[in-house]
Amino acid sequence: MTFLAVLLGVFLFAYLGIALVVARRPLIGRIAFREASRRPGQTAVLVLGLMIAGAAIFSVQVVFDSMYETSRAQVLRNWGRDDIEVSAGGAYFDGAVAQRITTDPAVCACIAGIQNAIITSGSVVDVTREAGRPNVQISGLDLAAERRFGAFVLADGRSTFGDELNSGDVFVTQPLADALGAQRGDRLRVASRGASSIDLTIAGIVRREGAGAYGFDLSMFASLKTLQQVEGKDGVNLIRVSARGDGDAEAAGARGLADEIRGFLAANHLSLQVLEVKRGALDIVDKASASGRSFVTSFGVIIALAATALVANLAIMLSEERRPRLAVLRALGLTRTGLVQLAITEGAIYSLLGAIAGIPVGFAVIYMLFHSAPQSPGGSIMFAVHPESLLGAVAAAALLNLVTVLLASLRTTRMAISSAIRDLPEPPETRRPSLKRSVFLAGLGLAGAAAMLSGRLEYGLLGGALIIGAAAGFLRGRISDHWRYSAAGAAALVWAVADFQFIAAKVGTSLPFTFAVLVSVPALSILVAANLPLLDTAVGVAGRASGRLRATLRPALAYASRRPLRSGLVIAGIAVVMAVLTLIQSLLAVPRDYRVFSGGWDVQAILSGSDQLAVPDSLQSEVAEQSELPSRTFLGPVNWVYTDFRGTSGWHQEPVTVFGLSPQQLESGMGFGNPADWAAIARDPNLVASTASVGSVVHLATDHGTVSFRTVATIPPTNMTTSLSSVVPGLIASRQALAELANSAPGAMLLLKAAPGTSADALARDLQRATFSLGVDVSTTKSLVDQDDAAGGGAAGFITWLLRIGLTVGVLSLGAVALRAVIERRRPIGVLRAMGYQRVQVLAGMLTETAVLATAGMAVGLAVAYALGPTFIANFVNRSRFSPDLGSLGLTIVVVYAAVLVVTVLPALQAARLRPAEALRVTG
Amino acid sequence: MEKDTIVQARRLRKVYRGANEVEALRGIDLAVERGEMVAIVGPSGSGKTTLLNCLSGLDAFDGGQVVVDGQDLSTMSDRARTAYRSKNMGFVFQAFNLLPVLSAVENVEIPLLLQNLNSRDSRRRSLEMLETLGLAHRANHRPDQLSGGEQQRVAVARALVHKPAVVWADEPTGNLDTEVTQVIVELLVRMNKDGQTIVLVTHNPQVAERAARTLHMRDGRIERTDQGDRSAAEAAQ
Repeated sequence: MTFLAVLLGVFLFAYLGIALVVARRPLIGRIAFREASRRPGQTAVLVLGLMIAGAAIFSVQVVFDSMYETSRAQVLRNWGRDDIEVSAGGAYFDGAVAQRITTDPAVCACIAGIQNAIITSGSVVDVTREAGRPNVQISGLDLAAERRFGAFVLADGRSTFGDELNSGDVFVTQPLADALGAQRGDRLRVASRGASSIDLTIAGIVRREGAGAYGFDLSMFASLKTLQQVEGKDGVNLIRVSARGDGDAEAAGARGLADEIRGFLAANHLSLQVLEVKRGALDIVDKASASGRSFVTSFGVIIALAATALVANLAIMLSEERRPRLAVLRALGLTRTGLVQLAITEGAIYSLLGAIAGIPVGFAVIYMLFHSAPQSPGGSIMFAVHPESLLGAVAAAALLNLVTVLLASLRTTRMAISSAIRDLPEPPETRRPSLKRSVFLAGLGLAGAAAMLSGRLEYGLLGGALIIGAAAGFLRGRISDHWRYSAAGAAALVWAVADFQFIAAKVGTSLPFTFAVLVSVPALSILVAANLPLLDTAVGVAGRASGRLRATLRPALAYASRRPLRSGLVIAGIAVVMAVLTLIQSLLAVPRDYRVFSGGWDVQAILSGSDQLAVPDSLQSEVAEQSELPSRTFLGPVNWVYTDFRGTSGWHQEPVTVFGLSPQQLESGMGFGNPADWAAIARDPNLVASTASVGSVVHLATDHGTVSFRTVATIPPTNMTTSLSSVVPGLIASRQALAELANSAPGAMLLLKAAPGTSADALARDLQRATFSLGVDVSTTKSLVDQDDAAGGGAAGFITWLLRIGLTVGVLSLGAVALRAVIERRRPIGVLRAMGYQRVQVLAGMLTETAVLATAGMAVGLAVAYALGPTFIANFVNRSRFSPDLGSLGLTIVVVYAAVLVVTVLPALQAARLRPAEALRVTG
Repeated sequence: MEKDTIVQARRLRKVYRGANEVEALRGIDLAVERGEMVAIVGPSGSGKTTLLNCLSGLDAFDGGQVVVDGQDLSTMSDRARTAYRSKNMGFVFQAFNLLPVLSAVENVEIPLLLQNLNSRDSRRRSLEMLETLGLAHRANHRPDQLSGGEQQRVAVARALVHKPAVVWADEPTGNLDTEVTQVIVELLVRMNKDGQTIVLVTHNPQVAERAARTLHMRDGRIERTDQGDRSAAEAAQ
């Protein structure tokens, strides 16, 4: 059963339950409906507050629906009608196999097209333009079979099946042409794994669509015969197969066809691999989308949780305003359960309206974000919404709001009827220990203990927090609320920070971080809220100089400081978003410790087609240290088994480059990992260093069986989005490991340290100039890291935007506090005005109250970010230090204060304008 | 003996405008002597609270004049009237109307702080006032920790602590039982004996009886005036 099905089931169950209550007790339904429709303005405010959760959840889903559809469309475009590929792990085999497959009666009926091909990679040099590029995919295709696989679309818009490609002619993709500055007619020198390089001519530049979308962005296409000349081989290394049908029928047909081809190969003793390439690629998209969705959804949930603080405040505001009326209902015979049912029924109306209203808002926010936000996830993203996202967002938001309303109503329906009818303060609580409450607290404690003993380290944090919460509950009435809140807050905070510090490195997922934020923020918020009375003391000191100042500030500060739960909710709402925003900004702002990512190397040079790459003698004086790493790039069936949240990728086609280090290089290390790791890699050719988590294994289906590499040392990824390193674009293994990939495309990488007095830029420039004729690509490691930073900035920028929306929610909750104050405190404001409070004092008091809460919220958020940040940065992002961008944070704080002023000033003015007699006349 | 009028209302009119226009006060003439305790009684809707609000400057009026201790409220701005209230008036309400988030002593301190008295002196005088009313031991309790009678005594303390010219009390015993009502009434009488001018609105005949004078209102007019058990002169003695 999927999560969505469960969610929708719970949603339907909840609303059917409410409908049943209304059917059985029509009075409750009637009152709830009348209350909801009696004051449309107030209902609008409530719906506005309740729609935030829906908008937050829905907007995240829209982002991922769009990214998912974009990725799928890209896969479908890249693979076109190519469903199945038959290969020998890069090795060559007889091209007649394709012919035999098509004539096999068991197979041929399902085949719409079959094409012999040679797929390799190499370096390409545009001799005319004097520019070169490594890692270019070179595809030699049997053009006679091209029709089923689609036409090439030339830059001028004409379509062709490549009939005009003569021997020695190639099409190059537009990105490759752009990279080389190449034009039609240019001479290209191509070096792949063939013995020597060969010159080819550009016959056309093709767009990345149709047949030209196949393979890498940097690609070239030629006839099979031309590639056989380049490679010096007679055979082929790949057969592309297209199944009959279109769309889903083609996908379903491919599955059966792959099995039939496997059967044919087995029956004929042909040791070739059959890979459903398109489905494998789509599976990767599905898995990446699922893990990415859950990661960014967690930020959406943080906003939704901030919104629940707002909803709770709104629910409390509503019930306090109606307290005398509700008390009359109680006096007339409605039970407390009945009052809860009434609150839930009315809340259900608001929740559903709010959740539905959140859909267009979330849609609009994301639409604007895609089109206007700086560093948006990309202008080329397809805007897509899945119906299940819409249903899920409505159900999740409505349920979240409903649960909040339920919890709030459990609290607000506790009343002394006689006092409440006359709108008098509640009499002192007897605080008798109730059995129900004790059982609940005991259950909470046991759940916490179970979580701690479950063996799952990440759940221990939550378990400890539950135990602390239960203990605090048991202490109610035994110690003062001030000390109870303070002790519980401090204990939970210390526990969360210490536990996170301890387990973060041991758990490879971001779950402990999420739990740590969700525990430490409320804990510190309660601690701060319980101790806000210290501000009274400070004002008391000021009061020695000015009694009027004290008179102005005291009621406002008392409202903020002596209701720790309510203030804590507001503080936590702002703080949770502020904390995560600070952490995200620290990711964007940390000045890169280039040494961590580059291993201390200044310049990287990459070559394909040959594993011989050395610094020319003329440049030796500019180099202090150099390391040459020969490589093999495997292009074939690959299956990753990660030890982190990514799980298993499934078999798919992917280029995997393995760099082979000599024993001397392994002994001296590479600037990454530690000597023990390198010693292990030296001993075992199947151990590697990579950007994957330690323990992850990659399986390569080569022509002589499956070769597996296990990661024992981690190279820090430079690209946050792909989790890959541009400085080391592959696995680092021992030189023996390369022997297992003998039939894969050769290549080489040079890592250099510039000599004293020589800049990295100058060395890179000189080396590029000296080696362009080989198709070598030379970069400074700094530029590679910076480029990846910029690429990752899009995703981080999106999350930042999302969190800023969350901060707006926090600010709105302050607006709700102010609005609530006007309604709830009409009478106290009337009393104060009667006693001589000037309007400006009322105004100043309310602004001070919200400013204090906003300040506390931001301070708590910053404190949590600084407490968790270093561990978070060190363990999850592989950065060396936590250093938020203070300028950006300062700007955020200024904007928050300005927004607080904007949302508070109107209710505050409204309060200030209250005429005392009118305010005192109100009886609720 | 020469009369010392502290509250003087002439042809006081108040109209509530809405869907139906209601003339709540229809040209009231009234004088309250310094040190007098005056009770205003009448059926619901007769205009008692409206009269109290207009006399005390809590509410604006549509016609006539109100002079309190020589100050004409009708000519004052809202700011000036507010400042005047803070110095010269105290209020006791039916629903006690203590600020729920402040302790008893903090509630009592408010009028003193509004007059810019420093914190230390405010606290000292407030505690003295609470002690006078027998509430010193409850000074640091919040309203929800006090009984109804205690809350109303705190409200009385708050009304008296800055020694106002007039204390206005709107149904001060409306939410209290007989026993506590008696306590509060005795308290008000005691303060009145000390020279405090008190104008109170009540439904309770036993409370009204303790005033020097009782004004009976009906339909926005003072229907008749009764002299109570105690005259102003007696009260002042």
